[in-house]
Amino acid sequence: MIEERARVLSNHPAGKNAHLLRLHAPSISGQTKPGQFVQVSCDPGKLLLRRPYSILDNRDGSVSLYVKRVGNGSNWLCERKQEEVLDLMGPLGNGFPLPPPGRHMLVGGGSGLASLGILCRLLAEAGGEVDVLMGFRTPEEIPGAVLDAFSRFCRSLTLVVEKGDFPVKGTAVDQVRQQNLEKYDEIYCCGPMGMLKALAPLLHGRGALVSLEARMGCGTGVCFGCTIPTRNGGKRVCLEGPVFCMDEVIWDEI
Amino acid sequence: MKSDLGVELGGLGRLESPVLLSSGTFGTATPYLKMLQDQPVGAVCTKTITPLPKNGNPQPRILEGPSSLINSIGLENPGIDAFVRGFEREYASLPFVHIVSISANSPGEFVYLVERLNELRTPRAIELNLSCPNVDSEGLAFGNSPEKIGSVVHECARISRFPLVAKLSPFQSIDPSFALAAQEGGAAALALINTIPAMVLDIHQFRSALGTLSGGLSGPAIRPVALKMVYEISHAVHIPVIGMGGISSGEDAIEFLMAGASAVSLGTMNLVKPTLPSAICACIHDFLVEHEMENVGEISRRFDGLQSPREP
Repeated sequence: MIEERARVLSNHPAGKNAHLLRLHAPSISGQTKPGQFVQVSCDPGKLLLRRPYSILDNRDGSVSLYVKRVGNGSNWLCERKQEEVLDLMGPLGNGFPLPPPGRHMLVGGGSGLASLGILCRLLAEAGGEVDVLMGFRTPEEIPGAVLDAFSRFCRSLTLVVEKGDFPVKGTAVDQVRQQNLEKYDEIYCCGPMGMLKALAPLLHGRGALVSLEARMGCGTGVCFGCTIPTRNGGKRVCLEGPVFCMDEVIWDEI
Repeated sequence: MKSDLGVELGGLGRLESPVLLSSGTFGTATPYLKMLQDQPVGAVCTKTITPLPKNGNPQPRILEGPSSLINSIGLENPGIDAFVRGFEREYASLPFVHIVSISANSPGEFVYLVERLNELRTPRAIELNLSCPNVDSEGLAFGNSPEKIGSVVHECARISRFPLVAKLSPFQSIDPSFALAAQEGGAAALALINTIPAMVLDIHQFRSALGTLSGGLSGPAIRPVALKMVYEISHAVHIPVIGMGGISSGEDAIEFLMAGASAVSLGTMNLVKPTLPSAICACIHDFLVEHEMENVGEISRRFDGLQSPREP
């Protein structure tokens, strides 16, 4: 866990209102475990708090971030040019544990799929079979460049879209409902809160893991700004998470 | 010339750095402590501890504004029993001087907390959080008159093995009466200011934008307010004042030291940049050298308000 000045290697649009940034940050990259995140200083001097972003990939001394435009911080990040330097703090959070090779299902929605990127690669490299399921609101949101981080490693990649012209219509939750979940050893999810709340009862009792997004103050475990209720008491998303057992989270109280 | 960044904080003794870390923004979480390694920190203040464990407030607890942060954490903490049990393991081994922050609902509870902390060996001081804006009736209830503040401090000082720091809210710093009462009561130092009570509404949902109705405002936006209070109060009392409120650079820290603070403390910016103390100390050091001063205390002695004519 360090603070690192990271040079922008590339910054490209990745679907509607989102960008894929690749940053040169060898120290953070080398320490990153799947599901961890960085705290990025955005528009320093104007915006006070850092913004948390999952690390989509960490190869070759770089970290890749999938940034959706949702406010001032993300807008600023999406407009960074090559060679500009950003202030990162990381890697942070507990990350996903790596289980023995088996059959794995990854369920991602929106920008949440970023936290599953490294996991997908490592599970596949370890000899596991990985089926990836991703939901988007519209076809325009599908981030081609981000999907590469999955399609090169997974056994299957299913995309589903809620609105607009697309072969598979519906939500990621609909897709999970149609799956034979018995065949999976591990299930991992990340996405918007509505999606996670809908998945929780479907995946109950299966030991599914979920990576949560949260508004954070520090990202390092000191401010208690991101505490969520769990069956084992309040837990900090930034420190004891962002990865939790799905059944541990008290979804009704979030 | 060798410049000394150490400061004498009255009853608290000497601290090796004038930069402290404020309650609620220092913690013992591993990622944070790694960032803090080797930082020149004079002392750290624990999260505020209450008699019973507190779960804290509902989400959202954090809102960012222009140069500011509003929080409504709600003093989430494990309570005094768990704190005392874990203290040696969690704090005593840290390479930092530590101050324990406490808050309670009544003078009797404050005294109880001080009694419990008397069991410990290593704290340098106890900070009485007389002013948390986030907890109904806690702190503020009996913090509304100088007499009550003086009496709480006095009750605690009678039995405490450790020097006491009275942390005051902006409302208790509007004039020196609370500070003087705390001094009379036996406080060894003052810490000011705490966050400013504040609200933000979500007009589309007809409700507060926080999980509670209001929170506490901090960050660079409150700095000039804090500076004015530190100036007024440090010139009215004879005990040292630890100045805080949005300090985010060496220049900011020097401003507080010049206005009369004996030391400064970082809160909000400590969340954003845990490596700030080294940058601040480097800046203070250069300032001392540039102006041929031997120690931090000289900065305020050179301040002459508006006495000398301005350079054209």
